Amino acid sequence: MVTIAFLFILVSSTLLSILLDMHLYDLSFFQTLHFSLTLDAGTRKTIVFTALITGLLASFILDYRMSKEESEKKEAR
Amino acid sequence: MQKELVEKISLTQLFILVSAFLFGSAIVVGIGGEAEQDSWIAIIVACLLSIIPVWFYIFLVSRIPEKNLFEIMEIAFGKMISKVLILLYILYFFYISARVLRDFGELIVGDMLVNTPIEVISITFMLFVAYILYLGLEVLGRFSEIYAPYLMGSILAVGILLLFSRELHVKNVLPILPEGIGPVMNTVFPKLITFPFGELVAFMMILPYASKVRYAGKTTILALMVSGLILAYSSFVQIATLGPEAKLRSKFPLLTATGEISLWNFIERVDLIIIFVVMFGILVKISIFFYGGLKGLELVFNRPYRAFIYPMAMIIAFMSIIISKNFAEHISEGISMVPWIIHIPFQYGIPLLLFPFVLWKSKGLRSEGKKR
Amino acid sequence: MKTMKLLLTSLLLLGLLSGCWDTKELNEVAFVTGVAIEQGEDAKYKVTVGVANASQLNVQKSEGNTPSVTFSLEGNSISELLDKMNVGLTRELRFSHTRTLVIGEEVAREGIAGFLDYLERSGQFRNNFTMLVAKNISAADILKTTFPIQKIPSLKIHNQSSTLFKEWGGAPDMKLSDFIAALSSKGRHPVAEALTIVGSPEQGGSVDNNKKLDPESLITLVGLAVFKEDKLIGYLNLEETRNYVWTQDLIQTTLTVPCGEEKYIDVRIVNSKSSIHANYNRETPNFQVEIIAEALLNGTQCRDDLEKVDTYKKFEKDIEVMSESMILNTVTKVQEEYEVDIFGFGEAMRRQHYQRFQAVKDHWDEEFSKADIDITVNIFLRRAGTSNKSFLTEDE
Repeated sequence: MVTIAFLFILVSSTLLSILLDMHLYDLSFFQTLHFSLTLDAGTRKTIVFTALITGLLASFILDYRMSKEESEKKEAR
Repeated sequence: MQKELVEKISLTQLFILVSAFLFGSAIVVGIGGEAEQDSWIAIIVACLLSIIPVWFYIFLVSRIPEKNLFEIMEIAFGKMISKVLILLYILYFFYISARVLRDFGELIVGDMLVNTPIEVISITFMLFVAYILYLGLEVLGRFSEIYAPYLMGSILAVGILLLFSRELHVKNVLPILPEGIGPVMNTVFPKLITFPFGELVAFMMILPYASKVRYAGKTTILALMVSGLILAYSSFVQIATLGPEAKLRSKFPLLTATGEISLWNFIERVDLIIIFVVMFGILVKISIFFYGGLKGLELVFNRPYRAFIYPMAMIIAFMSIIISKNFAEHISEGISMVPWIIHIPFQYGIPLLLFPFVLWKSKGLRSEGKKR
Repeated sequence: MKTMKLLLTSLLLLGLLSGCWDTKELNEVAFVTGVAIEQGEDAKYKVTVGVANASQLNVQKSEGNTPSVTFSLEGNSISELLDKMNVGLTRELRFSHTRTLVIGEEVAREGIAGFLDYLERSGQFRNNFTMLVAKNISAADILKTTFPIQKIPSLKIHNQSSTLFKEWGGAPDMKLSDFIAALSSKGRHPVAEALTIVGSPEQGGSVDNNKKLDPESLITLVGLAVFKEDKLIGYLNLEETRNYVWTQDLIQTTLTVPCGEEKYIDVRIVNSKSSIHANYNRETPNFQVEIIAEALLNGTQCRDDLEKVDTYKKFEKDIEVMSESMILNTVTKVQEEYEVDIFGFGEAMRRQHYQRFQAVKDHWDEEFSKADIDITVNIFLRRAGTSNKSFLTEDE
């Protein structure tokens, strides 16, 4: 569930920011997508992308743990 | 397994949270600059006008007791529609947190730590926020209680120190309202009424957790008035020190004004203290928006909100970077688009839509309560 | 699992040990105390920086070496040159303690807005430094003229001008932010201080200059540089500078007022307040400058009895008449010779008659030069030092 939420929020908030950018820069959707997300040489977007990936990993782990807890509960019953 | 956590904040804490929330980024970027020397009047007018929407928010929350905005929406609109609306609200809250975080990052990178990547500042700050919220709303409340005197004290002290440094030229504020109230109203609506005052909509997520709900509304409005006055005072000090042109030109007017303080060749360079203090306002603002969003996720995805904290914090840090390529884009989005297409629907549109449903449903709830 | 957690936390905490990302130790930086900008021979600007040699400022450790080192480079933009200074200097330069900015005369005549923007924008410069124009002399030489008491030349100039402003009013209180505010205002033109070197500039460049009782070369303040927008158009002398400052924010000054033939009284003016009342008389703007000041009698060469109220009245009248005509002369001179509003009369008009000013703001200087100026000085002579009657009086 956490992973789904993570991906959902990530995609939709990126969409929101891209929609605003499209309006501002007068570019098409894919151009803006490319332009906001590519790692230009010299920028340090790698840092945030790394953080994002740790977030994704954390949500995997959380999901895994929660599902395990639930199954344990069921077994206990 | 986990016992239900009942989080309560006291009225003092609520008061402090509301005022720190309003100072937040507003005191950093400076508000109402377009009204030139009358920006302090604009702030007071906006503060008085926004009592109406804030009172409206409080009214909505108080009709259905102990339910926050999202739970009210669930009651009013039913499961399906409310889920969509809640997801939109979550997006709104996260987007605004990202914008506030970017404001702060720009302040730090532009003025203090010139060589530090803004990404690092965003991430470390979000880790901090995540930690506080992981410990809960109560911890945020208590933390604010400790910090608030420094915030208020230093904002007030800036004016006094400037006065003693002979830098406060009150004649800069003249002429008052040379072209009538028109230009002032243009700044009030839509800019000031949505930022910072309208953003109090996020407190619809917090108000039900106040310990004495009956007085929470009054406390919020009192905090709104007090912080409106302090914001106006701060704006007045900035104009009197820098003059309206320089205030409008400056990226962070309060910081520029503070830089003018120079007393007895001893109290100088105090702008660092201001940054330290401003950080607290930003922290409260981000935390409250973030908390609102997390509560929504809890409702929609049916998992305790603590599970979402770390991943979502990383998304906000990520958003704060990709939100705009440069400062010009950040500012022009903030001026031309955000108030109209983002703030107004969420601050006024949906709550207004909610109003008749809440009236209708709460009647039902009350009569049910009587029957029992 | 627990050890894993501990290990991970300690690894993360290790990252904090490196401290601040932007950290710079004190021995890696050098503090610039003064910057001089003048016209270059091959390029647009020639920039000279004066860097403090901190070890020589310490009384115990001082070895008699130079307290300040200068270095010059030429180029077309200030920012690049300032970052390129390591061509000749060792450490990273820090500009937050810059106390003086000396502008060469030629550059000032061509306009200085080009680099003022950089100074305001960069955030490295604090705004509490003095802006000066080097009159008839190379700006770089100003930073190279030593002085025995305040060893670093730029600090000496800064101190000198702020003390002159506080004690006699001979220098304007114009910081960078005030200068830019005046530049962007429609109703005021900026001014800066002017300074020059008395004696030979070459001699001043050595520490040996400090060993003479009468220094071979000395930096002196000579009055006011008048700007039109960002271009230098002329100078005012020291007296006129004081009169200018008196219409603005004078702290205190001393006047020599005639009280008889070839006889004078010395008056210390303290607690002066000036206000400008703006008005429009049909088509001519009209300004009343009202000055209220307290005065102390420092000395007299006349025989008038200082225990009589009439004498005080007479002296007050004398001071008022003299200072009124003095200030009026200065204003008229600026009106006729330079035709730029350096006094901020336009700002007063904007504050008091906003609509009227909006109509004329684009040609305000023409309006200013035909304005009627009326100066009223109200002096309150309070006391006369520690003695009553002067011994001169008793001679009679």
